[in-house]
Amino acid sequence: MACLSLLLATGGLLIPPLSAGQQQAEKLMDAPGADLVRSKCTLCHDLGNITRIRQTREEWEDTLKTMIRRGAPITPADETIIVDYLTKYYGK
Amino acid sequence: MDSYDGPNADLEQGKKDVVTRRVFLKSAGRLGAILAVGSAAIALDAAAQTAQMPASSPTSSPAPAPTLPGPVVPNAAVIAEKDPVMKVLTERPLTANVTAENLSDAVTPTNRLFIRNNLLTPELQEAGHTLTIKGLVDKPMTLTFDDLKKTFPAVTVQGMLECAGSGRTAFSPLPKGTPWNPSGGYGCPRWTGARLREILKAAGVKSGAVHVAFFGADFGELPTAPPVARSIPMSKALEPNTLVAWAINGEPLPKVHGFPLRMMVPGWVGSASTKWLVGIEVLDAPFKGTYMDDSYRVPAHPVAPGEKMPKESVSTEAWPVKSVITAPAPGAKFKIGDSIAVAGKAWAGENSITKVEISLDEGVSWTRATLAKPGDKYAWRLFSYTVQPRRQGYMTILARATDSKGIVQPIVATWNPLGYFWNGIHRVGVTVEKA
Repeated sequence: MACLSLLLATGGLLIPPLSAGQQQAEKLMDAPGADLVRSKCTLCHDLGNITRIRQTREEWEDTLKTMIRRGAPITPADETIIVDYLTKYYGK
Repeated sequence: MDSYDGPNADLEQGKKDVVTRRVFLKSAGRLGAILAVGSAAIALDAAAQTAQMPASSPTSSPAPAPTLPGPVVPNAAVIAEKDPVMKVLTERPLTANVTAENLSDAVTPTNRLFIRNNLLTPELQEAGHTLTIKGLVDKPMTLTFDDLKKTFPAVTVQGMLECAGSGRTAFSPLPKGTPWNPSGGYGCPRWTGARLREILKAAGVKSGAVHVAFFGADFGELPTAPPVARSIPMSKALEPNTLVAWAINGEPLPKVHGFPLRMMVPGWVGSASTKWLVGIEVLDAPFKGTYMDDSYRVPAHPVAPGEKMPKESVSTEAWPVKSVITAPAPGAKFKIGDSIAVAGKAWAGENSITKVEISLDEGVSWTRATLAKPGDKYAWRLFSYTVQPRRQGYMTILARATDSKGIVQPIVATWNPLGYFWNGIHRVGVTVEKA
């Protein structure tokens, strides 16, 4: 499958490269919790949706609840780690 | 692909639907493998992003792509059909648009119409596609795509489609959501389809019906993702310009714009115009679901910038009065004595445009622009104005519209936590050089 998708990708089907600004936005602060955020949140959306904004703990909690309602496979334990991480590095 | 179950699935019952899809996939054998290639290609986007991550993220590999319930159109194939001036804003979900100076056509060309997905772009087929009408109706029915076209007269209207978050990045502080540039995600193509009211009439709306919900066949990476479903009030559902559309600018809908069938609820936030339409349900109350309750809402009473959504909030419906300058382009250069042709578009949701004014002094004084004849009820109104600059240097051009209720476009839009309805005055800067 990986070979097939690679073929697809190299067959001119690649997305236009990200702009410098977008690449910047795609970087997550490297700290405990970042991997969890990356693996769960990018199932459905770009990291930029996170890194562009600043939110309070309460707002991140609300965001996580909405995402769980939208099907995000986030356990209560994950939720705590993710909210802590986002509040610390993408808080306001 | 005929047996792909998306269009016929009972979309309200997400779980049941997922089970059906999975059973189907298990028995699909080779087909399943083909579908999974689509999902692997998407996972590769994530892998490419991961490759840009710092090396100190050892476990940053993307989660394995779950098996998808149907074939997906890769983003790159979607973008390949678009004009090169279109810019991708986010890759998942896919969003893209063009800036105002690229929207000078009176009728928005399909290849310049913005893209706003909530989930993936499903690869649907016209043959076998069905639309189910149920809920508070006398005669629940399932129509095939062909039935629909044969039974109901085709109507063509030019109408505004604009994402609720269009222009979001002009808000400060920046609210969450798609980072639409200040000139937004909007367009005004011609749509062809059947009037929803004719379909509802055929089904027979029962008393007590107040809202009509629309269900799309799109799905996400996750089997747990609920369907994108929203509802509109009956009054708007019965409005003669509200269409179940199958064509744009005289051609079948492109896949990313809802092929083979979509809602067209002109003048209202784009999320009302459900793409990949498979279900219509007549309800005795607004639909309850995450796309109604968690997003597409604004505070019932204005809040200070940066505040969270208050308990009292209302669903987004019609766009407020707005205008954009499509010419000249920002940064254009002119000479003293040149005639600068200023042109643009103005629209106002449920209202009509009565006036557009231009300011060349940052809003100190305003002069009326010339309005073109009004077109269809929900089409934008073109305006034009000629400027002959007498001084060299940087010059700004501002436009502001007034609607039939006397509402004037504001300098800055009312801030709201999800960044909807940006309609602040558009401002374009140009340079004038010596003759």
